[in-house]
Amino acid sequence: MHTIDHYAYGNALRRVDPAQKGGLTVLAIILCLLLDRPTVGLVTLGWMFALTALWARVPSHVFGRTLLAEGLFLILSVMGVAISVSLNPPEIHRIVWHIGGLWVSTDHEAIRVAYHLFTRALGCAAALNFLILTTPLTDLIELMRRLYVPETLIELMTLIYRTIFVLLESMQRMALAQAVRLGYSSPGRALRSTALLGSQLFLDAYRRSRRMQTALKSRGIEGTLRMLPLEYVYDRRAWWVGATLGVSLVVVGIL
Amino acid sequence: MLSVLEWDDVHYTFPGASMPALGGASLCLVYGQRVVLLGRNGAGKSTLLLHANGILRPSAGTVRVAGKPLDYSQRGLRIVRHQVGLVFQNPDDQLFSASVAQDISFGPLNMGLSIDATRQRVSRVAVRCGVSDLLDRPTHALSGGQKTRVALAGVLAMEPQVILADETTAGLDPWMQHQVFTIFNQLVAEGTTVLLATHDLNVARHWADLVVVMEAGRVVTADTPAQVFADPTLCELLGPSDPWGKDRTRPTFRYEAGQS
Repeated sequence: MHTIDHYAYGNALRRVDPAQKGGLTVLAIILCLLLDRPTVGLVTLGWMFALTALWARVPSHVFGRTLLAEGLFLILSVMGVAISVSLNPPEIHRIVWHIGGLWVSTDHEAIRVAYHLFTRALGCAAALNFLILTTPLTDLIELMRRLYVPETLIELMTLIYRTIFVLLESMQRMALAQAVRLGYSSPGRALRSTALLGSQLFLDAYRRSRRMQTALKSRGIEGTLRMLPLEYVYDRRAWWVGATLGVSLVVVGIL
Repeated sequence: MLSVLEWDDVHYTFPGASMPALGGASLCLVYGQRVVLLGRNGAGKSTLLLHANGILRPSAGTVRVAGKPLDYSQRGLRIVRHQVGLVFQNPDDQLFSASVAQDISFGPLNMGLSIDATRQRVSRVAVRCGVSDLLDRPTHALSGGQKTRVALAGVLAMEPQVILADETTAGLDPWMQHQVFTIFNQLVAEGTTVLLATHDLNVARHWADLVVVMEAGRVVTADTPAQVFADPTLCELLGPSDPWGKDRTRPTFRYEAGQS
């Protein structure tokens, strides 16, 4: 999370309007879903990798690793589509293994569907990776505010995003304090320390929320968290990038 | 002299507590004063400060801001929170947004300022607090000293007449403390009153115009540093100026090289 956050705040597209970056992402996702061809998914992936690495200048290994994590989850989920497991011998499958009492089977159609699903989902994931690696959450929240997402949700997201880091810091401090007093010296102690840490963190979060409320009151809060709209740079190139991306995906999808 | 903030015989007991946190605290501050609030842990310093802008309401007694008794209606509180700014000990309790600029803008927008006016204030106050280059940074990537200055900027953006800082300089290195005191000094020169609650007796001795000492929920004294530190009873109350003590006995046993 820290890595993604780090690059989201420090890439070459940081100042570009999140609406433009979000627009590119949504365009890629929609085309990927509508055209529904493995090549489109793979071309989207290539596009997003190029945009993130070359345009936003985020190191390519960061994009690669994030995508790898998502890819592994995807593989696990499409396995269920590609392979069926049953106690009785399957009737239609052409490729069958008999392991112990289980019949594991697959066929070309199942593999084709799984491959379709995998590439389509990976293309969409890559598009989202481009967005999260170039746009910090503060900008995404700002974008949602402009899109008239309910104020309560915006406030919740603002506070949660901020307090994640405060609590994370608090947790690291507490865990360190436990570790220096041998709190994690054996599996049993580690388990007990973790439980204690969890409960203490809950109390800490509660106390912090009270103090934050006092601080907000003292700065004159009146029901809603009012904040300055952030300012961005409007990048004309994003239109050209979007148009080229769209045309190339459609061409790949139709051919 | 015209008083900017006055606590008049203020009493307060926290819900469920047996002892009152404030038992008749009285204090009067005037414009453009450097005030240091001293007192042991639990003496009621923070509780006193929370009464100044209506976060807590006294069970008896009056708080007056610019000579007028505090009005606890929503409108009244909006005015008083603009006049009296509170900076908390832990900046993480105060900074609610991951965007530094948005956090600083919170107070001015609550006061009803327009977007443009708020933007101007944010950049002005950021220059004053030396956080201009941090406006684009996420709050969680700031150091302790930077967070303190951003928290201070968030309060200064409301342009209060009194700043009440609760142990704001605690835990900062001397350079960071110097930066915070530089801001305080500028504010005082412009007529703002700055009150700092602290345990640092040196600050009280050398920086303050007025030293306020609290004990058990009451203001024991409010006087010049010279007067306060000349009083042996008060010095006894405040604690030793050399907390490390005089015992410098050498150990009778020493670990030699090779021993474990």
